[in-house]
Amino acid sequence: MKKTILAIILAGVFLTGCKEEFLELYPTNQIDENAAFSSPQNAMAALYGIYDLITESRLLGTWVPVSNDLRGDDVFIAQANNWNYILQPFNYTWLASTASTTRSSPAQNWTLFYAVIENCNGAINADLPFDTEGAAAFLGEVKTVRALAYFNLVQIFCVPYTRDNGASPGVPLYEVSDASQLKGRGTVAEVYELIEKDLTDAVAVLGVPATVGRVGKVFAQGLMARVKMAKGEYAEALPFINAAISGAPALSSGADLALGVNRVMSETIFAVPFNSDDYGIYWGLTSSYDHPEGYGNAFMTTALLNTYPADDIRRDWFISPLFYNYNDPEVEAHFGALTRTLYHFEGYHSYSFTEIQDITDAGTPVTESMFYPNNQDSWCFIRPGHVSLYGKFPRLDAVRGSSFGSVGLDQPTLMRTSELYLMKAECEARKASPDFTAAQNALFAIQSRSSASAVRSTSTGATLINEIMMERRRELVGEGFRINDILRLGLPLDRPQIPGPAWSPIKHLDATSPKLIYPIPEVEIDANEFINDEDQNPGYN
Amino acid sequence: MLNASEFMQKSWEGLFNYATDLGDDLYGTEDDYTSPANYAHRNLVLLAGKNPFNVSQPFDDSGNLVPNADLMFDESWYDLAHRVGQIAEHNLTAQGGDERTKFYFSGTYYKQKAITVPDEVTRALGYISLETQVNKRIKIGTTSNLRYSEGNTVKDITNGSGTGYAAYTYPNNVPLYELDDDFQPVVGDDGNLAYNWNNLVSKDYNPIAQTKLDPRGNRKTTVSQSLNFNWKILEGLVFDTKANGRIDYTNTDDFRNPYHGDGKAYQGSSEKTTSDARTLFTSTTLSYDKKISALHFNLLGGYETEKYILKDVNVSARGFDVPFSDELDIASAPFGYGSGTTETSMISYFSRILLDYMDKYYLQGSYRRDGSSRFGPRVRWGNFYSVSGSWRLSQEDFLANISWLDDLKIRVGYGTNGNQAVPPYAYLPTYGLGYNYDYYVGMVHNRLPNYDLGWEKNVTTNVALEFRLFKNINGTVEWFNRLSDDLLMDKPLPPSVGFTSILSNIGGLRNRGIEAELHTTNVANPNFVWLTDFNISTYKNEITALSQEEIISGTKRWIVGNSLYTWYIQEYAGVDSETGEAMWYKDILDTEGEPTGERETTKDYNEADRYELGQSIPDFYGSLTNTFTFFDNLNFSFQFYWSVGGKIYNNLMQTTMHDGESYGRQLNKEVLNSWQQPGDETDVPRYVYNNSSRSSYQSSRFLEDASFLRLRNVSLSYDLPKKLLGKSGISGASVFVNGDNVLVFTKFKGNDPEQGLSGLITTTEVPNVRTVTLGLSLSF
Repeated sequence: MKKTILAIILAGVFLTGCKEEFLELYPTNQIDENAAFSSPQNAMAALYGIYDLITESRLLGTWVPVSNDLRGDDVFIAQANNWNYILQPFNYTWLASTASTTRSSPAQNWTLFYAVIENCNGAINADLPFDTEGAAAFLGEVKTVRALAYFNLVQIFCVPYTRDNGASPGVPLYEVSDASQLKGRGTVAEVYELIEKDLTDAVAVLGVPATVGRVGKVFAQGLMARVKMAKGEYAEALPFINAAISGAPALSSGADLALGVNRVMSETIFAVPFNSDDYGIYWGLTSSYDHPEGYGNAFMTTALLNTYPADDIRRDWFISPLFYNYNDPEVEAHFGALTRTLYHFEGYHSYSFTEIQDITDAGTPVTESMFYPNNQDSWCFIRPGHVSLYGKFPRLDAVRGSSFGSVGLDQPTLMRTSELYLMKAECEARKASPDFTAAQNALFAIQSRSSASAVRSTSTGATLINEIMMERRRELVGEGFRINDILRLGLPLDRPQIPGPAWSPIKHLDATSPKLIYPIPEVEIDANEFINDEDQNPGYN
Repeated sequence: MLNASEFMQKSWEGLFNYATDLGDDLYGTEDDYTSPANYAHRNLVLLAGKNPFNVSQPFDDSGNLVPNADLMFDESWYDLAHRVGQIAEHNLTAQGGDERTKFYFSGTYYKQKAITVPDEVTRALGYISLETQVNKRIKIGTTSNLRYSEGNTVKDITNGSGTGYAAYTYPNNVPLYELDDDFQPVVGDDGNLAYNWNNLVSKDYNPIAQTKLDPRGNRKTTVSQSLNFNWKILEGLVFDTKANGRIDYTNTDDFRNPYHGDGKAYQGSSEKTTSDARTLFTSTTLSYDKKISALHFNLLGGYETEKYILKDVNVSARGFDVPFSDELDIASAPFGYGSGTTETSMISYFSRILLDYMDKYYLQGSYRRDGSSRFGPRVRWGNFYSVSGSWRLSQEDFLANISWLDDLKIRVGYGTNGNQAVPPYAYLPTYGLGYNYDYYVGMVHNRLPNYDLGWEKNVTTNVALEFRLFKNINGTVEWFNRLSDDLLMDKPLPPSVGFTSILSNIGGLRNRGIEAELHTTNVANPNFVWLTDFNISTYKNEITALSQEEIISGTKRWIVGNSLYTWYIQEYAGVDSETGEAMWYKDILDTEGEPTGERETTKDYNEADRYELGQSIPDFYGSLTNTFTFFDNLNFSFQFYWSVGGKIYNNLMQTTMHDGESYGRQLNKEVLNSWQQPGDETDVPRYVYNNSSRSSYQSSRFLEDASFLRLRNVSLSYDLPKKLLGKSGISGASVFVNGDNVLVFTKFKGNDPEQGLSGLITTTEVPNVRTVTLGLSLSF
């Protein structure tokens, strides 16, 4: 009898849970979208999420700027030991069908920038939990980021505005998140219209950002200037540039400049803060230029190096005190024609040049294994014509002469005051009624703080513009500006200075070459009824 | 795969061809190249890796091996990554009891060393069931299941540190150990041979060394216990209730050494994860069984619930400068962390009726209502039912006189059921946490709402004929038609909306086909029995409805009327015999831009159009088994299995036929057929360093007919005569030899023509391994 009672009690237990609540389950590491903007804390988390997306290594954190330079004429991928690291932008071999999981592919850029835009749209159209002023400032930040995303998309996927005043097909414009209202390509002009509208709103409400990791008024003004210049509207860009310069920190100089840009400099306007969650090691910007231990396959041409004045402290970016650099006939005599540049880490291996001589004199030949960046011997040899950019993008925690730092520790700069001066110089010189003196002054501000022997240029016209453009290349190399300059100015791509016999199959592209524009990803064409094969950019179908 | 000599020679040819194509650009630079051959000689080692020959210039100006060149080493990474596997399995089972109480016990120990290095798994299982009749009406029972396994975490082919990846990408001129100038292995500081970390494929990697230096283990314990209470209330009326609880506890280690590979940048790293999954299942039924003369019926009603909770935690740390072990205490800095909870639940009500009359007519009906937490409140509940009947014609008088007809039965069934195979919370629009920025909490919109996401419904109709003739032939022929409605699939979205897909009920599908099986007893003498089993199946897959005109899902295109498994990729048109360039087909367009139906070839991959190119599922498949028994104690059987008509996309062939685009990486032997000179007829394009022709990109070049005939199993067993066992206490003993996947006949060039429905080779692919088993089974 006892046993039966026990069993019946059990049966009663098994029957519980017969309720609808039993089926109501919610995740704990995701929150309902309806609660995303329900409190100031939630809204701020959504804002930080937007920042996190656009600054991750697949977008502005690494591969967009690196690809922008690799598509240009000053930076290239080494022929040997390149691990096939983003060769496609350098060789212009992207396909519309390349998967969005392939790093820096058109589909990856497209998918991720639009994810940023979708998140921005969610925030812009939300009922915000702030007072009027707080809401306006919040929207100013979000709209600046949305403008930044659209500006990148329109530069990557569309014919430059300057070629036909924006009449060419643009990219789909979404101002509201709605997957049921698909959009076609529209025009480039329409994209710029939205970008300028967003930035106008932002400039009106933004102030000084809480941290260098967020955008403020100066960044929005600087971005507006970039946008105006991309449209060829130099005079219109100047008010924004002047306003930005007046609000921006002073130009970096001396050691602050020589130590490179992968960190917060005194002139930094907006930089991606380091967050250990995002520590991608080899996928960081510094790793791309860190040939001894990072991926380090992107190098600068000697042609550009040779244009820096001998006393230019920016030469430290390439010949950093972190390295002993031997770039003289004596080393060449020892190591043969295979190499002209030899980097050696101080504080990591303590060989002196005499010891290097001993090693070679002892009969150690220069062998191919010495070219392996991870060669366990002390040496990292670099082939002729390859200039390391590592000193410009050093590891964030490196200390010159003592500590080597952690591979890939990053803090990429997305805008700094030097660019504002270079924009000012260019706009003053290029505008319809040029002010060459103002242009010369802005150029001299850049040149004089890095080279004691700099003299104020007295050139005018095309000569001055050429000097300004060369200075822009010298100052901003590796930071992702070059291809967009080539495109907005309608220049052909010529890169005979890249070493090795025609290592890249692309030595020259006409200014109107379809290759200069990325294909619209096939996944978009496949799924969007308003974008069909005939809407694909020329040359890709 | 190529050997080291072939690899170097092909690489030389690639450089020579490249330099030839440069024409005048080759000359006049500071490198002072004098000819294409000179370029190839001087760059071979830099771009193709270590020179495995004893002479510094192993090839002459025509690319032929010079007479005095000897190959000093030839390291096959394919061989290093594979080995002869081993499986050992021991089972012990016992059952017994008395009239009231019964027990069953079993234990298994299983150890496998897989053919893919370094994969191993060890499992131990114990199972006990106990059932006792408390009194005339009440029976209680319990089962308990204990399972433990440990092994290493499988590294797949796409993972750079995986041995599978090395097998398909590392050429044979990459030595496993560091070699000195005389090609002798170098002894390291620790007295062991020093591994080589230089190769052109992955920076500072040596996947074989990493299997030893970077251990990754996992352990899984499963405990499950059930209780059962069965109460016979009245004759035929039974109340039954059951509860089952189960815990799956898993923990894994993932260590990266501080010296080389992934761990170097972190000065070594170690990750520990644990997960704890609990499932509670209950079931309660009431059934009534009654026989009224020739009519027998059985009614059943019941209720079930299931609740699943998974909790997991992961922590990692870095800085193992002194790598005593992989314990996190050693680490100098924390690195990553995370935790999560996943829950699902389900409630079902069900009922069933069974009727049979005179053992001739059978009727069955059922109805169930299922509620799942995976779907939103509006569509959470699904109602499903089935009806089936069968008629044993052979019991009828009008067939009773046909002496050769032993049994004949017609079976007809119609039923619906539901599929809820979606991840938890898939209908909820959410922001995902963990997108932190500048050490502030960040979140990102990660899922669109789909409150209508609901049950996928399958409607199955089948008609079958079962028969037995001449006492020794029996078989079944069955026609089935399975319609799926509200198919649960990822619907691709244009990425410009911010998402690439949304899980939806997107369409309908029909699988219709015929299955037939035949079993014959060919000979049945006391000393010799011969049995044959044969089956064959064919089915057609067709999309019947779709929420949009077409969906292109990876390598397939879905449109109404097509199969879900229709290949839709670029069509390879072979090699231009004059230039050695790859060609594809493209549509010829009319002035409106519409295809005219005519096609032409193109050498620009961008222009290649995609076409429907057959299916990944076979036209038909089947098997034939013959079993022979001699003298009642010697058994011999073999089984053939075949599949005709499916196509597989050989992605591993694609990886190893890069035509020079992934220069410096391993190549398949097929590359030796590459185009050499005008007039050559071949499917393999000219091999060129830094090849930018995209000849190895996705196309039908790698789509292969996967028809095959396989000797799937051969088995021989012998039962020892009882006499021999004597009074040893052993009541029976047998020894057996079993061979699986003994032979395969196919034109498919990959490892295994037997792949999943999608026709893509998975990256964790372990070739369907030829296994030979020896065994001894004893009963007492």
